[in-house]
Amino acid sequence: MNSSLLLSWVTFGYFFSALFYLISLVLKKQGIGQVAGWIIRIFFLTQTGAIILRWVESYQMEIGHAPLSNLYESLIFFSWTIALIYIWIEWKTKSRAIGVFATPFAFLAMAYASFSPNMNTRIQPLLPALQSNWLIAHVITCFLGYAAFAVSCSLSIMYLIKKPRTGKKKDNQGLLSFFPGIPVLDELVYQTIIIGFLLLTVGIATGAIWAHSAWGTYWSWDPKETWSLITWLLYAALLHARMVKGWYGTRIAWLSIIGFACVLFTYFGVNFLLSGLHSYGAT
Amino acid sequence: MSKAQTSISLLSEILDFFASVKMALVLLITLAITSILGTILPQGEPLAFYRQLYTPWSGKLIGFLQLYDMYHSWWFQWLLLLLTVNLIVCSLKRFSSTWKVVTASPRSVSEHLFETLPFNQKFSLKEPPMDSRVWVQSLLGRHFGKLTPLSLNQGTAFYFEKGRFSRFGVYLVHSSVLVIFMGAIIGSLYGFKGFLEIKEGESRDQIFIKGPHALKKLGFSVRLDRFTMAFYPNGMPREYRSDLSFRENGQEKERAHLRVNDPFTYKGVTFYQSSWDQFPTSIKLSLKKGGQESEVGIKMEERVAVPGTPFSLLAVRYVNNMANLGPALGMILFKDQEEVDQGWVLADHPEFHGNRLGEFQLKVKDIKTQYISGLQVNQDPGVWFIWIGSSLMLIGFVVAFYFSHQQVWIWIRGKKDSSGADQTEILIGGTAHKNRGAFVRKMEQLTKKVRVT
Repeated sequence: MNSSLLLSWVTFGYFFSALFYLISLVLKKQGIGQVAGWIIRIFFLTQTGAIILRWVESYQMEIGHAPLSNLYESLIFFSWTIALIYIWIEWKTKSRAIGVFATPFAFLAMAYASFSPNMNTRIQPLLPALQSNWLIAHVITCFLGYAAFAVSCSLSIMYLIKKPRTGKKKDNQGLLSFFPGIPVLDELVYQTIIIGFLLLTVGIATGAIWAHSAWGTYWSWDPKETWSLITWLLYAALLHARMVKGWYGTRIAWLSIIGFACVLFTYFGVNFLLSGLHSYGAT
Repeated sequence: MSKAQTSISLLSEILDFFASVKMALVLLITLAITSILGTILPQGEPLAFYRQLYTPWSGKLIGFLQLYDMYHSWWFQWLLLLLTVNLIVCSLKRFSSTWKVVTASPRSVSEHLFETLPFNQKFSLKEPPMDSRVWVQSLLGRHFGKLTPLSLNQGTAFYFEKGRFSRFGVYLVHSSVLVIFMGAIIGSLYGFKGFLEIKEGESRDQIFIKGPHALKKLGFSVRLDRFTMAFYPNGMPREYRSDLSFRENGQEKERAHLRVNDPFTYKGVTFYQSSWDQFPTSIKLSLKKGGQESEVGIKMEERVAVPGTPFSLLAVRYVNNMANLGPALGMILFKDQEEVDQGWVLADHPEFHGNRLGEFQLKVKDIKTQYISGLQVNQDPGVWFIWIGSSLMLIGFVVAFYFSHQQVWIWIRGKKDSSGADQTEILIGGTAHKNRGAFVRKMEQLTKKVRVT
């Protein structure tokens, strides 16, 4: 038994969970949704165990560090945070339809980590620049924030699918009747953005503290820093539009999707298309 | 309307726009979009680089818009200044009305008040509550705390309130942005960013800094006593360490071990382990020409004659690891005073066909090197503003997002029903300054109990 084996189970687990959520919605069978819910919970726990195990394994190799140090480990953690936030939302809203849109993100992150041919899956020691206690705080807050934005994006997609088909005379919405109501979706999009925005801010601040002790400057306009700021500015604009200008629904949903695109670019695009100080995230 | 009036009203319209939330949105989005430029275009290169890379015309544009250092360009700074002004004006404009609400005493109850509240319901009870104060407290006190009785002529009225302070959350966030900007300005005015390359055993009392005054005196001297590297079993670097000693007037004052992520501050100046290099102190070469082999010892940048020939050798560069082939020496061969050849000599690959200058086949017999430690040397008196600003921002977010100012009024009064019998009417109304939907749902839940009694 090792962490890699557990993690490959998790990849398949999340796939089946996403599939069952979809089947449950299409066939309108609540029972299948319940099964999907159990699958994601079981594999979330498995993944938690695998992450802890990978941490322990690194200590057995005498290079002990939290498994948050390269692209592979960050993808696994990203997938874990999406599952965590989704499970919390499902528990709060009792709606399994959100699972159809949220769990694929958890699966895709795992699939990318597991199947990409260039992925370095070995446990490697930490380079001097990464040997900092701020690593854990920085990575955890950033990825929890990213995951909140991912879930917000899923909810926005649901909103945009449901909104134009509501309010018609025939109340025959079919599948859409399993979606949460329009006001609930709108509120959830907003709430998840607030969580993401708070965590992204903590992530940027802890990154600044770390950069200050490693490189001597809290801000150096490195592409990753800049893109995280671009993402932050976009969500800041969204929050102002909502809180002061009373923007609501469709416009907020679109902004939330654009915001998540920025998150994805900050996470992947910067690694592959732009160069900078965060290069260890790319391998 | 006269021309002058039109232009005045146009001016005030423009000013109003600059002080509006719309302007804030425009600025936030503009900053986000323009920031992308600096992540695509290489930053900090000389202008010639851009002229070569792009057309001359775009080279000019890059020069005019200072896109080579975009985040410090005049227009980006202007955007930041506009945002600051907009933020201050918007906040001040709203603050006076917030202050009025926060310092106001609760409005007295009236039919009109209840009609304007987002949550308002009427209940009729046959029997009046035994003790209305205890009854109201038990109904809502758990969620709203202490109640205040309101004085009035008809019936009894009570008032609950919580989260008044939350109206200040947004101002806390906005001032935190100003604190952070202030920190950045203080840092750029009164701080410096410098760099120091220092050989083992060497002392330095000045550093290189960016900007017009390229050299800066430290007021003390720093000596690199030792530079060490440590590796993991797989060959990856584990630690770079500089052992420094600080001296003033020839006297040693303090020693420090500098590591990556573990800087050291002496007299307000902070030293960071940044890079390292190696420098050859002495090199032994063998030269072969025809069947003849001779050996020479050379030093960097010192021309040495090849014994018994008109030739001489000069080592001009040393690269620690060239194209993963190990150490390499950049060398020039002279005949009398004229340069005849130059090339790289690989130290670890003696058979490399390129290890050749003129008719000489060169072989590096031995290189003795010395470490050079690259240190970032900074002073930033503004950094505490950044940390305090960030903390204030987070506190402000929590207050602004998760607390709201909630007010509830309860009015209990006697009334006759349609048959003329005595009845008690209870009006409950409330408002929240944020997240009204959730507040109304909560109030509906809480007041369900009233109907049951």
